[in-house]
Amino acid sequence: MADQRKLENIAVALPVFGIAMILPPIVGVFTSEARILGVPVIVIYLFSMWVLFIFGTYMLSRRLRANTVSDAEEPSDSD
Amino acid sequence: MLSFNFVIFTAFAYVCLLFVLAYLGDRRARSSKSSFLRSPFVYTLSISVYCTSWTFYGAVGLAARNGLEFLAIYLGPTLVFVGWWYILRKLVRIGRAQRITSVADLLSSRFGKSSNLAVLVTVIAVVGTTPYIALQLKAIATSIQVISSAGNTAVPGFDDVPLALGVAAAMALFTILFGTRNVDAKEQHHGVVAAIAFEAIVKLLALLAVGVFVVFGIGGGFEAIQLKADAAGVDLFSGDIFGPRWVAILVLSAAAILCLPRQFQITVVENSNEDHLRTASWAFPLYLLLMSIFTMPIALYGLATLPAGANPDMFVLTLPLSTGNSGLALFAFIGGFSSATSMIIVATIALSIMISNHIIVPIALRRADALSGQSMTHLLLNSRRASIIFILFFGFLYFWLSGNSDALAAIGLISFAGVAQFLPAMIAALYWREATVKGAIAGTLIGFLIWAWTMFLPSFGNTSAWIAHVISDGPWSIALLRPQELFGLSGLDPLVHSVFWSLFLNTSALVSVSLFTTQSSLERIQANRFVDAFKRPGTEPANFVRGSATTNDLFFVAQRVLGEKAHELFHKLARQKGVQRKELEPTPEFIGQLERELAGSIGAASAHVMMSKVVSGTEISLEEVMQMADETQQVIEYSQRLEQTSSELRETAAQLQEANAQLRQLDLEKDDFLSQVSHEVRTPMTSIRSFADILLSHNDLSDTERQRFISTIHEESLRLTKLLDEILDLSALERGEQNWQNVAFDPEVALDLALNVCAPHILEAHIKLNIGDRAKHVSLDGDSDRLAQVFINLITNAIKYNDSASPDVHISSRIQSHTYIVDVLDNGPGINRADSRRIFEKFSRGRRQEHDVQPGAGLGLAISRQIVAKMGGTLTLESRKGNGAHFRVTLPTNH
Repeated sequence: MADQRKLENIAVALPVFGIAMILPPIVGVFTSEARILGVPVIVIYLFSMWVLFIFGTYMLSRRLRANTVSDAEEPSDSD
Repeated sequence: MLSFNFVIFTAFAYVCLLFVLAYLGDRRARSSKSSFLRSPFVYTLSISVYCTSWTFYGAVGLAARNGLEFLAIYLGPTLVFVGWWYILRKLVRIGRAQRITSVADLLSSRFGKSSNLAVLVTVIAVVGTTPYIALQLKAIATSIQVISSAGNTAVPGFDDVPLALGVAAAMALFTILFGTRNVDAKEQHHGVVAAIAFEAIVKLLALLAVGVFVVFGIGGGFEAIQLKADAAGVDLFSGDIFGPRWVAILVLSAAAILCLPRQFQITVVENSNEDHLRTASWAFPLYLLLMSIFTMPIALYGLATLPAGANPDMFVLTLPLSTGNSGLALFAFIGGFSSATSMIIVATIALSIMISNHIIVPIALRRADALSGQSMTHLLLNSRRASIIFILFFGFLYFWLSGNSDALAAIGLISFAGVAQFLPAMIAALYWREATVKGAIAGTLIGFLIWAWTMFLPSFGNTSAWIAHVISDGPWSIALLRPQELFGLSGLDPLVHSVFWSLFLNTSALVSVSLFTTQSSLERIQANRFVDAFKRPGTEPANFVRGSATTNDLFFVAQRVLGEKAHELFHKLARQKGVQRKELEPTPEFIGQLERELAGSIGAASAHVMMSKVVSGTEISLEEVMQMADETQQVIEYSQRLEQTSSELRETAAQLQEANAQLRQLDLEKDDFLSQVSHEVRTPMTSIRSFADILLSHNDLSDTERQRFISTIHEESLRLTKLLDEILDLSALERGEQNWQNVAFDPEVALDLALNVCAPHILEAHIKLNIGDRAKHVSLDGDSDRLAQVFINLITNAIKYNDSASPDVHISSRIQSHTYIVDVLDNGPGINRADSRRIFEKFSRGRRQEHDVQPGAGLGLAISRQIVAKMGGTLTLESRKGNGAHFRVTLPTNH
């Protein structure tokens, strides 16, 4: 289990990596005529990256700790 | 086929449902705090207000025209949420801590609660958002026309202007009812959020239903649709779309999810728990993914099967209609309708808060009687209601005037680009401490002007000949100022061109003006609060306002803004401080807290103006802040010095304790010594006295007896003298008062002397003396006679205590690395381990003193050790195997 500092670093690395993956030139690698199950490779690529981002963020969000504040914890609420 | 009236009725029923939902949501949120309305999933769903009718209908249209480009509009926000830990979390944290009410309030608050900046941001937001509202109205009108017309023929008697007006009026009513119910310390609208979350589910389900119907119902799967499109000559994947335009749209959509007033309202202002972001970080991207998964197949299938000229923007409706599936079409229409209404509602609330807080309230405050007149609560609520009506009417007007022109079609991205002008200032607000308000205003204003010139103006190109002329030739025929080829930059897509120039000049102005201007003290304080939002959780620095307002004055102000809620607020603040309501003191800290609470209703800038009206003190100058900081620094240094001193004191105390223990030990030793001396002196004295008594009282003693007694007295007095001599000698040695002469001498001479002195004893005791190796040419500093004394003592001891049958004593000396070593060994009983430490102490003799023929006083070894120590050496008892003792004298030579 990675410690908090590591996780926070991953929290930066993940979006940076994500940006790189959907920008040229990397994205250009997948713009070919080829198809998988009748769907162009680029579509498969972008959507699987998308799923990867969601999964990575999901894993990260469950492990990152933070001292958060919620309405319920505040002494009183006026509404 | 659906009749026009039926569709209108459905839409009306849907709006009624929203009213009920919002009403129930409001009531539920009031009654219980932990209802499902405050769950992270409701929060996530409400964020999907991002997906408007522009994305609901328009994404398919965009996909039909530009292929995968539509994905960029979803991937930008996805990446922002993937990086939630750094940007969104900080935004939400600051929004909660500073009671931020809108994006204008955020920037104004960070940049010294500047009213000017707030007004500028509000104006940009209104200009950028109102056309977008018009676009929603247009989408609703168009979709109703499509769904209720047979094919593409217009419905007779259909006029979309009153329809749009009706929608706008219904939305205004809804927003006024649920968006301006009251003025709270937090601008949260649980009823509205409940309705928005419901709409998010409706639009997602509608789009998924259409998608599943198209792909698996009539299309026959993804592959079949692709093949059908290939057969029809539709190719959406061949063009290279991953160029500058792709990047520009990614940047714009990422900026929009942060800067759009409605997104800011939902994500930051309506956030009831920072932890909800944790769920939204992955759930919102997932929502976007689901929204877009069927976009491409719908576009492909529509292009392949529908007659040429069909509007791709309406494929979501026309595809179900074309197969006679009017129920699904109606559901899709409701989906589009809900995405349009949710956008209108949230955007209108966000804008109305901005307009009332940053434009109307400041104007009202400028009036001298602002605080003595009518309650501010009414002013706030009424100004918001007026703003809502104004915004929606303005949006309707825009829709009406632009008519059927194409001006609206591109407004989605244009609107994104407009609010993206907040991004540089926002990023600077969160991360750059030195950014100044002048820099923020300059950057935002320049960015806005460039955007208006290069993007907003050209969108009217088709409606006005003059604008078309400006686009082609530039104003007054100045080619350098052509909106789409500004400063001669040509060959770029107009969108990329505008985004580049506006954001580039915006950021440049922000940075350079910030570097050449200075911050006011308030700006500096706010900058630290924002940039260090995570560094000092919970503790708010006192607001640097000194003044002479009474608590009553403050209450009066709070009442003007909050009405009856002011009572609650003051009770709450008093509870937090743990005092009674009337014991509240108008401390700077309290004033700061109150200002933040009021800022939650009327914005930071207005709250600041109001408070400074009552608090008649002045804000302290930068110099004073610096001085305070210096004083703090001094206090820190002083406390560090104190700490240092106290640790020194602790050390000294420990040393004292140690010394004290030594003293006590020495005192004990002294007592011991005295009692032993008394004892030692007493024995011979007793015998002298008793013999003297006998001599005095018995006159009949024979001469021999008398002679014997007198000689005993003589011997005893000699022994006593010797004892006293030794005691004096030892104490002199210990005190160091002896006339000590350190001169170079040969210790071998002293050893020879000692052997000569001891020779008679050796003979007398029949001891065999072994002289081992002897050192040669030794020279050391010290006292020759004293060293001889030491040797005599050692040799005498070796003889005296030797009870062996064939006693022998072994003596040797040597030089070893600049030390002179003399060993004296005997084969007597030796000294057991327990005694080995004790024998060097005063009056300690070895065991068996009762057999001593000539008992010493027990000071010999103690004196010897002192002598050797004076000469810088040591006298030790070496451990030895077998019988006997082994004493060693070690002395440093003088080379």
